[in-house]
Amino acid sequence: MSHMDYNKIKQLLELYWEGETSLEQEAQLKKFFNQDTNFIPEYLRPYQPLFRTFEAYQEETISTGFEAKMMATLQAIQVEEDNETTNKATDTNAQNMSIASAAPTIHMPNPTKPKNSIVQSLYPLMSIAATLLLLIGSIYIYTGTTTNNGEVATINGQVLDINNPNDRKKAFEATKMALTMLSSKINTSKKHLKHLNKFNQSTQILKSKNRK
Amino acid sequence: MNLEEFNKAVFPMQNKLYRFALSMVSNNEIAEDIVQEAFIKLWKTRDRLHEILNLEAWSMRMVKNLCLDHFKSKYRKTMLFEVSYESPAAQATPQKQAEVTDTLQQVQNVLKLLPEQQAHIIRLRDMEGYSYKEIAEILQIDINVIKVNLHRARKAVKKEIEKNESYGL
Amino acid sequence: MKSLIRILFIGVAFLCLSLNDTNAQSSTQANQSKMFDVYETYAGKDGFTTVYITPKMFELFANMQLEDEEAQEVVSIVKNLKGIRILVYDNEDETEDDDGNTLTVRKNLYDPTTLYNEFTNLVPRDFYEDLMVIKDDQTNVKFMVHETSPGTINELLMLVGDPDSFVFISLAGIINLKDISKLGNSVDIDGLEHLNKLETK
Repeated sequence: MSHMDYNKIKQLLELYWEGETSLEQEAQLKKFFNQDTNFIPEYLRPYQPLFRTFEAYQEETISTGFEAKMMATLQAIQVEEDNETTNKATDTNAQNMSIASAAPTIHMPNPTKPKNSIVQSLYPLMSIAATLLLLIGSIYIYTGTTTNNGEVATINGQVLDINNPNDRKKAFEATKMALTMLSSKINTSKKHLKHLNKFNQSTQILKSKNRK
Repeated sequence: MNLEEFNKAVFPMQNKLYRFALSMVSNNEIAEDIVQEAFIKLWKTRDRLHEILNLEAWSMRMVKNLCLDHFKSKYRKTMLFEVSYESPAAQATPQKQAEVTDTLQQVQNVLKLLPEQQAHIIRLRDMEGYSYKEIAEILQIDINVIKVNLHRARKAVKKEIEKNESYGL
Repeated sequence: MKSLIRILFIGVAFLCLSLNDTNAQSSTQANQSKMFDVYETYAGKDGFTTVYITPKMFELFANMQLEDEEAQEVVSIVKNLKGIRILVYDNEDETEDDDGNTLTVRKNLYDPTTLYNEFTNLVPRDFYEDLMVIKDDQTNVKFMVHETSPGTINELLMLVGDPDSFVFISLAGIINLKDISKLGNSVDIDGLEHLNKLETK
């Protein structure tokens, strides 16, 4: 690139900071800065990362499986919605029917009682079993909160991964912060107590002076 | 509206929405989750989609708000302790050269120093190439406010770059 | 039918016993359990941050490339720790208005002083004793310890309640107050400022 072109870029850059560039001019700048660093004069190099970042982002794409996954999810939602509307329809049907049964004798089976007599006799046992499961479950949860379930560290309940350097850093920063705060509070509390002691001492002296 | 029509109307936006989310949350997975959330929201109101004049602006705005919600939510508290010694771009763009990723982090940091609105404007203008008018529609603010903020934002970025330069960073 | 129920109950009782055996390894956990129920109640709620770190993670800190002295001091302290639990309630939120000005918003979801009292009341007094209690007109600070033998602290609790935040920190392990107090500067840093600083990165 010639000397003249560099000047042009310099001018464009000035306009850019002012917010005065058009989209085409900005595109020119991006194109220029996306060259290999060697083609860019040193005094312009500090600005290269900025424009490269902008370009880099342009190349980000969502994962390839996204569209398929999305379609499946949306379809599932549609099915759910359809089911809800049909359920509502059957409910209203049942309502209509029970209203109808108030009038001339129409024999409608009561939908809540299970017809099967075997099922009926098992109900009490099933309810006990259910209660027990709940009890066992809550014991597990209770002890779970007081014991280490093999977790190494959690932040807001989210388990950190030992093998993830970022997670380690997070844990470290949190620890450091906690200890530092602990430390500074200990120190200032000590200061308070020192003052208190001094105060106590001076009142003692006053008292003894008064006695004299 | 059926799924096919929805697909045609909405899916062409997926990468723009994804990039915008990514520029805010710096994490591929989260960005994708946010786009997914946005699509689900759009799908749930698919019968009224035709009422929206500019679907893209509407969707971008939705993504912006979802990102903000994300920051406010429980997950955000994890990010309270976030110390990104490793460039998120390193994880996001393995195909890029190493030299870009360090500076990518630097630019990310600079953007994070900007007031929220200004950062959005830079992202929309410099990363996506939206016009002032389009940005005004996405962010729902006056076009003159945008121009002023863009100027301020770029000046701040320039200052930060030059400051880092003098420190030999 | 009745005998079946009896069997089931015995089975559950057995389960309870065995679970307790494996889990109540030390009286520590049993005693802390009440507090941690409360801790767990608040964990995950809006405005709260909770952190729990175990020795396994502490061990890894030793292997991290830490540049500053302070970090090294932290490592030397955590080597002796069995665990650290933190719960913080931050009543303030920083947001920005359209001009980019920072606004501080009070959430007022919980009252820090009430939280302070709630937690303080739950600490089992037969296990922990007061080490230091400071009451300012705005701030409450309480340090409590559990000593296995006079002078040997193996658990330290700190509770701080000020107008805008509540902090609960629990350290378990071999605790040396001298070493810990060497860590911070003598300047009283409002620990939560640190949280905010990390946030803006």
